[in-house]
Formats: sequence, C-alpha cells, structure tokens
Amino acid sequence: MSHAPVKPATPKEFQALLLVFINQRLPEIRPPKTLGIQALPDTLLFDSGLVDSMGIVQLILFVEETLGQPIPTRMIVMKHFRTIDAIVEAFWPTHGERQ
Amino acid sequence: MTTLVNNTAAKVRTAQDIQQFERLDAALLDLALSLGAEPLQFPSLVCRSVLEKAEYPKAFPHLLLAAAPAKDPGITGPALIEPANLGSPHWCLSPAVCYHAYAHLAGQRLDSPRVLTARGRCFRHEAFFDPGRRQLEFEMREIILIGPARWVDENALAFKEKLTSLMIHLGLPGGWQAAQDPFFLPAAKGQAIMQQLKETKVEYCTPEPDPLALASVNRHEDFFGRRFEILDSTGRHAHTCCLAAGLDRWCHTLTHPATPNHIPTPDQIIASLAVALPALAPRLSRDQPLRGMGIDSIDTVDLLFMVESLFKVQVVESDLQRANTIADLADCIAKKIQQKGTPQ
Repeated sequence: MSHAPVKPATPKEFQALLLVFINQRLPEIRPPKTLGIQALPDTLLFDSGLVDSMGIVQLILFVEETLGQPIPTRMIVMKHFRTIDAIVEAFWPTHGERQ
Repeated sequence: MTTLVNNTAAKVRTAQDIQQFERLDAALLDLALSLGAEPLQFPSLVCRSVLEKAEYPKAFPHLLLAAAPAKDPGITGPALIEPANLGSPHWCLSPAVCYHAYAHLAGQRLDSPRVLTARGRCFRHEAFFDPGRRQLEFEMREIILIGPARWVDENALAFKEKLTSLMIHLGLPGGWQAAQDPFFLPAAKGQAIMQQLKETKVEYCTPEPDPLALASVNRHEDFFGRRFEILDSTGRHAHTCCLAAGLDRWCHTLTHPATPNHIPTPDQIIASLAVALPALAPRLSRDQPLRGMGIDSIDTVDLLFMVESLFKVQVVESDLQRANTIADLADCIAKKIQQKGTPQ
C-alpha cells in the first residue's frame, strides 16, 4: 500500500482524507478502544475512543505530511483536534493560523 | 556522558531555612486539614513494582533513580558499588509522593471519596543542579484526591483556588498556566501530547522575568484508578488528582524575591537535552555539526518538542538552519530564554 501523502486541493478534500485516515488507516495501526464507531466530520474523536495517546501521534504526523508543514506546538490544543471539522478549520492553510 | 550535576543533591538548610521551611509546610498542612485531608507519611523508597504499575519508567525513565544492594559485600574499595557488583534494584527513590497513595489504596472500593496529604522527599535525575530551583532531592507536600470523576474535578478546582489564595497570602505571587511534564521522547510522546491537549496539568509560576513553577495540579482521570484497581463507591475506577507544592522552591522564592533572570548555560542546556533524549545523546556534543549528524525529521521534531517542554521557548526550523553546531543551537536557546525575560 502506498503511503505517499495525497495533497488535498480543497478543505473538503482534506476532510475526506482525514475521514479515511481515522476510519481506515488508524485502526490498522492502533485498534480503537470502541469498535464499530465510524467517525463523521463532527464526531468527538477522543470522547468516542477513536483517538488515544498513541493515535494522536499518528494523527498529527498525518496532518503534517498531508499539508506539508509541521504543526507548531502551541497549536496542539484540544479545540483544534476535537473533531475532524476542527482539524480542518485549524490547519487548512487558507484559514490562516489561529492563536 | 558527562553531566553537570555537582556533589550535592539538595541545598543544605540552615537553621533559618529550616524555620521557614516548617512554617510554610505548616500553613500548607493546615489548609489540607481544613479541606478534610487525612495526613499520612510515606517512606522515601518506593517499590519498583509500584512505579512500574504507575508506568513511571515508561514515561520518565530518564528521571528515575534506583537503590541497589551490593551483590558481594566482601568486595573492598570503589568496586563495592560499581555496576558489576550491584544487585537488581527492588526499590526506587520516590519521584513523587502520590504514587505511595495509590499503592496504599490499591485494590480497595472506596465507600466515599478520599483526600490524603503527605509531605515527602522526592528524587529525580536532573541534568544540572541549581540550589533551591532544580535539585536531585527536594520536598513536596501533595494533596491527593481520589473518588468519582465529577467529585474529583469539582474539588480539584476548589482546592486549587484555596491553594492560590494561600500562596498569595504567604508572599508567593504568580499565575496558573498549562504545563507539560518532561516525558521521555519519543517513546512517551503520545502521553506528552495528550497531557497538552487535555490540559491535565497546570502549574503555578512566579511572574516574569524568571518564572519558577511553585505548585502544580495534575488531573489523572482514571489512569491510576485503573492501574491500581481503586474503585469509587459506584464501582467504577476512581479518578485521581494531585495538587503538589514544591516546598524548596517556596523557600527559595521568599528568600530570593528579586530573582535574577536565570538563564541556563549552553552546556546545561545540552546536558538537559541529552538526559531527556538519550537516543540523541551521543550526537549532542558541543562541536557536533548539526547537518550530517543523522538527525532525521522525527528526531528534529522530538528535539524541538523537548526544547519547548524543558525551557518554555520555541525553536523553529529557521533557527535550526542558522545553527552550524549543537553549541550554536544551545546558544540560540539561551538567547531566546533571555529575550523572553527581557521587558519589551
């Protein structure tokens, strides 16, 4: 399976890639605590058990590789990772950096 | 690896120091008792299996200190306590007080929430010694809450407010901010990120230009409840929270009110990073060129993450590109620390 990052052209494409990552790739790396849950754009990723302390490392790496830029440590806050929509809102370049 | 730790694990206390130390702890103990805390006194040695259950060696292996007996006490001279003659350590030096509390309650179902308080000597393998501020041996008084999630969260907030009032009353002004433990990277990176995301740790720090963390509030959710099989009255794994006060730092802050801007030297910075990132340690010598030292992107991320965790400044890619050697990088970090404390 190729792991070369696909570069999204729009926020919608970025959202779609995140959905694939959370629902398909991440469970292969780290089986979720709760089985049978499929993430939607507004699913609470941590409360649902889909992302834990090991998954978050992989998720951050995925976002950085997909967007081609590192995430500043100050941006690693819960409001930016709570849902897939929050990730897109925080890190899609056209939205600019958040405080 | 050469460290900069000198021959003293802690500042030697004078009679005046002792008087002040006991006065401060008495005030803190009074507060804890007024909040219904049960006073306990734990040993300084903690069983290795307790720390392993708490996953401390996994998260902070670089800070751990262990006590080992001599295998053959008949050996004379320095060889008596050289590694070849040391037995497997059953005991460790306590890195914090609260681990004893979880072990004390292990396997119990609590009829009602518990509040414990204990003062103890704590030990961490620090890269350098700065009397009163960073010591291998130091004392903390901790207030430990164990109970249902909502009770712990509500009382942690209430206790934190009372602790804040006490510190201000004692002449220790400061403010709370999100904090991070110096987790061992890269192995414990996920835990470090989760702590930052969930803001499960906050520290009370003295004001600029030389902030020093005097106290912390650490919310563990059900992490220790699960590992030590402590159940609350509903049968669920108990949540825990500990409020910790660094008594040596309280004393130091009161006796050094106009603390000069403490900037670690580049050698201290390098030593701290080497202890925190042992996988990179062989490549962290002063004259080591940065380029070609085999630091890959993951190593770089870990290095930058640990710089921010230890020194509260950010080093970005362009800083790395400008630095030719590790010494240049350490100088850059020292300058950023100094600039952080300089009024704009």
